[in-house]
Amino acid sequence: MKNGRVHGLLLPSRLKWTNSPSVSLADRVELTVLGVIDGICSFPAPHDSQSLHKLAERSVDQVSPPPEKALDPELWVDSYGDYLYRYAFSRLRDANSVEEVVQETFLAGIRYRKQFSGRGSERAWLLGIMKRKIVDAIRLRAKFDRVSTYEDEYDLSNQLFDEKGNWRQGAVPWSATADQNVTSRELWQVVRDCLGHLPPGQADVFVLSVMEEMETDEICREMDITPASFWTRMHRARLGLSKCVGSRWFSDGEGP
Amino acid sequence: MLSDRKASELISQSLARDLTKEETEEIDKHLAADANSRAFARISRVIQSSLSEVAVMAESGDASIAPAMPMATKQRLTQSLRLAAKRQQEEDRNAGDSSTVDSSTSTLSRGMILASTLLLEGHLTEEQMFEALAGWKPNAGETFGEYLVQQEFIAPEVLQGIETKPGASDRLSNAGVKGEKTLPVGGTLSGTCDLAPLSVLPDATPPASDSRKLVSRFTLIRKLSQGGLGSIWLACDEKLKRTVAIKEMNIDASESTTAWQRFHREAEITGLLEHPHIVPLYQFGSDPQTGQPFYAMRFVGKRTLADAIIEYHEKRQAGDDDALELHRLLSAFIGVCQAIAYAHSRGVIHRDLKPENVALDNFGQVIVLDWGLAK
Repeated sequence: MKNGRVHGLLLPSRLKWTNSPSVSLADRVELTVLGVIDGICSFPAPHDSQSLHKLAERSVDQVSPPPEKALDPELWVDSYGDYLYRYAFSRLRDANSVEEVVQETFLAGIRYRKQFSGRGSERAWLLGIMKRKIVDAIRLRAKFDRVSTYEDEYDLSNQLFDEKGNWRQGAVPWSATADQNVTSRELWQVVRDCLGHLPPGQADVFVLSVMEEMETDEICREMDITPASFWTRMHRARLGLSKCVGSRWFSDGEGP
Repeated sequence: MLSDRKASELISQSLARDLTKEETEEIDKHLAADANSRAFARISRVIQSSLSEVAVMAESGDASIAPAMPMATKQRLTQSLRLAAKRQQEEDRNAGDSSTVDSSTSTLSRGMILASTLLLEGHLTEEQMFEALAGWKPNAGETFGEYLVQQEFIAPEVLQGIETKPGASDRLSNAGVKGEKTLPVGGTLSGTCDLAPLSVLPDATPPASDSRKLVSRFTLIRKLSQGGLGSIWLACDEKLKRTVAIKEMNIDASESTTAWQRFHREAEITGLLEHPHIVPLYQFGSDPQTGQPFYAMRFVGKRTLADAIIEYHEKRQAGDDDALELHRLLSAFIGVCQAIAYAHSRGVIHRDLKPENVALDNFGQVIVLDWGLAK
């Protein structure tokens, strides 16, 4: 499980379990991935995201026997297009990439429709496929952007820290408190906008880690980076986001 | 003592991993002493919380986190899925079928069958076969077998042996060299085609007076294009009530032995290659009125990959291009690659591959055409 806390500050839980004593934790995880109790548990248990991804893949590739329930691909766009589009947009931020990923998801759904067990919802099944497609899209984006990207040089550290590693005077825009009137949705819009200003290699690693809750070694494998590079990117992303969000949203004066 | 920089790194890492006891103690001290670091920890936590919350909202389908799919994208996707589902159905069907062949047993095609059989059994060389086919006139009232014997390509006993070969009558009745005889069907020039039964079609009937017909089954509607070797007609398959394309050998070209060879070869290769991205051949025959050979195939429309490429670049120049259109072009290219890879696996080289010879049907399906130069 990812450590859901910053030092000394517990993060709110991402879990919203329905306490059903008849369903074990392991069952909930699998059932959620397979979409059986979609709507009961609003998010897969984050105790082992690698297992989740494996289960998601299994839901695509290995579930058997072939379904008795007929799929209707033509209705998928109307039924699930918006849902998948929004989900992918929250991860990829780029409309072209999102469209491609959603299309690839549907096409894979058609191709592997016989492997849909019919036990869960189509939506959860398609989402399981799309999560894999999102990772593929990010990996491809990283591969093709590698030549042109400036992320290795894009490091705010020199702006924020002096030669001795101390905070530069006046360079820290987040020495403030959040505007309490800002809603979480407004904050998300600011964060999303700021993510868009990060180099893709930093933002994507950050999203995979924080939003998709992928493990460090899994991200390193998918992105073909070393753990040291992973931690560097994560730190630069946090610095960049803090600077961007802090300059847009925080008011003067240290909070409580 | 930690520097602020090192402390910020540990703060970052604390959001994604457990710190060691020593790291925890160090960072505790640092946070107690430095307001900037505390603020960085706080804002990092807020950002992470926001993303985590949005992750949950996205999973549960909250509409406020991102825009809905644009209507134009929905329309494109719907069309794309419709096509993909259709393709998948075809692939499933092809995978499950035992491949029954719908082909003419006209005099000419029976001659082709006999030629293939003789070639397979070593009674004719490929060169002899082409020479014989070029010299034989199917509408002269003489079967190909009779012609071969008369021209001394084969001995009468050879022909008789094939006609009376055990099992031959089981495979093909009423389609023999002499009208009532039977032949083993199958065998290609390369000898890779499995034996398979042919369905028997009625013999040719005279054309109707006011509309041109081929083998009584096809009514030619209009000419779509004309090349040096043959013409492509839009035609109606009267039996199955479907639109087909018919390639008919030009009368001028029929004077050339090479043209006959090419036309036969093209039909044979097209028939040999059964692939979703290669135009399927429905029937091979000859026009009873003119004696010109023809073959019927799926009508895939007139739009080619060349047209699609031009359209895309025109839109691109106008700044109106769409990533999905490029994706579709690339998908079409992949389809072409798959068709060519399949042909190569069967020992066939197209030799005239170009965008103009790749048709995109009304649903965007990719079909490689014109195997007239193939070897």
